[in-house]
Amino acid sequence: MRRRCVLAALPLGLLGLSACGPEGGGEPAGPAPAPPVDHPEPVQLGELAEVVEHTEVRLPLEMTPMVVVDPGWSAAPVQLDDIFLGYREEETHLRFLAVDQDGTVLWRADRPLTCTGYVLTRGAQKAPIAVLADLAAPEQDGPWAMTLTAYHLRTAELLWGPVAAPGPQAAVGLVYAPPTAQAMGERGPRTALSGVTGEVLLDEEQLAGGRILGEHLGALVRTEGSELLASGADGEVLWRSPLPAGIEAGRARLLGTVDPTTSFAVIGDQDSPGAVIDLADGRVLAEEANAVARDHVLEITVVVSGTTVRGLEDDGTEKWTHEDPEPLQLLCAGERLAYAVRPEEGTLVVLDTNHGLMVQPYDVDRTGPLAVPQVFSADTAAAVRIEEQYFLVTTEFDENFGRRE
Amino acid sequence: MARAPRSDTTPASRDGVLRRWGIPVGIGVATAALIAGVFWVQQEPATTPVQGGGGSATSSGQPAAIEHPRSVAAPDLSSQEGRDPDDLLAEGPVDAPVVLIVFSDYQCPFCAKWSHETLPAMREYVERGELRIEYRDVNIYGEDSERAARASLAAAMQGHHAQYHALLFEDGEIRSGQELSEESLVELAGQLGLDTEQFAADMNSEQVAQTIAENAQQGIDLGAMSTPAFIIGGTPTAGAQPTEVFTERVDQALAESEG
Repeated sequence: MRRRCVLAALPLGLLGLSACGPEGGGEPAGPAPAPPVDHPEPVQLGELAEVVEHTEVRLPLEMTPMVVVDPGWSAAPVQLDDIFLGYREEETHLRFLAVDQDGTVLWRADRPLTCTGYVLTRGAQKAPIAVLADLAAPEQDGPWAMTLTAYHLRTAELLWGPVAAPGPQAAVGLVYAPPTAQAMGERGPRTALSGVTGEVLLDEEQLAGGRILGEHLGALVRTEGSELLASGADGEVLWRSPLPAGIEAGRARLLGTVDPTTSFAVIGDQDSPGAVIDLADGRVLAEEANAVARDHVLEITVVVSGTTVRGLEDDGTEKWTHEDPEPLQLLCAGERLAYAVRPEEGTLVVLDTNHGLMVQPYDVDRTGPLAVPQVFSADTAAAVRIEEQYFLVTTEFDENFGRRE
Repeated sequence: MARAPRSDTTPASRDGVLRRWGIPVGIGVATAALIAGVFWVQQEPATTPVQGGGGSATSSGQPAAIEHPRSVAAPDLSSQEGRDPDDLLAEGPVDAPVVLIVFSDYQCPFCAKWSHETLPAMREYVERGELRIEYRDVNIYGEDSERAARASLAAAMQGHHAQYHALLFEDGEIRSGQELSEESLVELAGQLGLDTEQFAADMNSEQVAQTIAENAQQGIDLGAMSTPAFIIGGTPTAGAQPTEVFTERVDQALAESEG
């Protein structure tokens, strides 16, 4: 399958996507963008996604009693407030599909078959919003301009936009930056937008050396001198704390995505392991971290640093550690299990979050590709990957479970 | 991928099993019973290395694309091997290149089946000095199982563990709860010509109870709640699978031990 550069909350410009932005700045680094779609406005649906036969998916056993649906996603969805948003690639366009954790497809929206980011964050009154990128025809000859439009994540109601994007997405959340002549290198100053209005919230040029690290659920995370701080929609400082030891302010960044069910993020730089910070209050939860995930059932925070996995209690107490032969790539945690990949071996490492023991959660009498959890909601609905398909294990119990052959 | 042999296990429920909240308990237990802690049938090993370094990140600081994993990684549980020269519930040299740990229960029908059909093949390795077998009774079926486990250790104290174990699983069948009463267990010891008085005293001794409890706890800590379960050369596996599965695993572990 062709891989499109459609990534949630990723610095698209660093992936050769500067051609998607306005004022391309010389030769485009990527393919020319496809034309806009005729009808970009969302269509409300409110129907159950196609139910998947239990024989078709090799799920972790805990998930087997639940209804599984196939929304048709071809990439891992993102999740906020128990709603998953993903997309599938069609012949002429991308089709975004928002699906409630009970399996109901809430709405769909088409976008050009091109490099475009999408973000889930919060708008007015803390409402969950989906911000989709689009392309607008230029007034004069020139590249298509990228625009952003926000919709209520549950109802698809238009909340703001389209507004011109300051450039391709440059960091987690509503953070954008224009490309420079160095298409694959550093980009221009970052601009953070407001989830409430779509207007510019803060421009990095105003920060006197400070750096915008990302936007998360309406909170703007940035550096100021040797401090890390978060500000709200009105610019008010939510919290302020010293940058974790070993992280250089000028090179600090958010590593990976931020789980909206916890607001735990890893902040690091290129040369040293990061620290796990709760973006809700600025607390440092753990040091020496590459990735973090949370099991909401046992309330254990799973922290990966290279070959070491730790299970932490809420007070930071280390409940267990697991030392792996390989540096692990953490996928997610949920329902008392944490999932990670050994890249070299090509195997899935599953740890129980109570003791940190490696477990085998799949029915060993079945064959076929594993359905590997990627994203959990707080209520343990899960998007699972089966090779190039992404299904949703819903929160709905399958009434026929006891009658299965 | 070749189909994994069907694993015959006897599931057991327990507190604290993995269970999705809000679903009927019985279903949760039925589901969780298949999750034998760290035990599983090893699937095809991954042979093709995935390109890209572990945990590497792009220049953007985001994780590199992750290939879809083909199988579940197995832990190395070599540290669970006792290799205790004073262990009476073991057969084979302490320094054997491979150790087979058997997590079993005297009321588990598939344990009886395995002992009858596969244990003889395993003992051939023991006779060649290639394998050490360590028996760990997890006693998931309660008091009668625990009493039988204590009786087997009492027999071992008189040098007759293998024979007593064979009697408890005679013809690949388990005994009823009644047949595991203290009286019946002492009577079995008599059939083997053991000192029944000593046997009864040992079976009820604090030392024997403690050893059996510790052994059971080892299995419980590892999540071996579906019996039989095994660790072969550090690799866990579950179920009374065909004998050739065990001989293949032992051969593989022997080859690995030779480097």
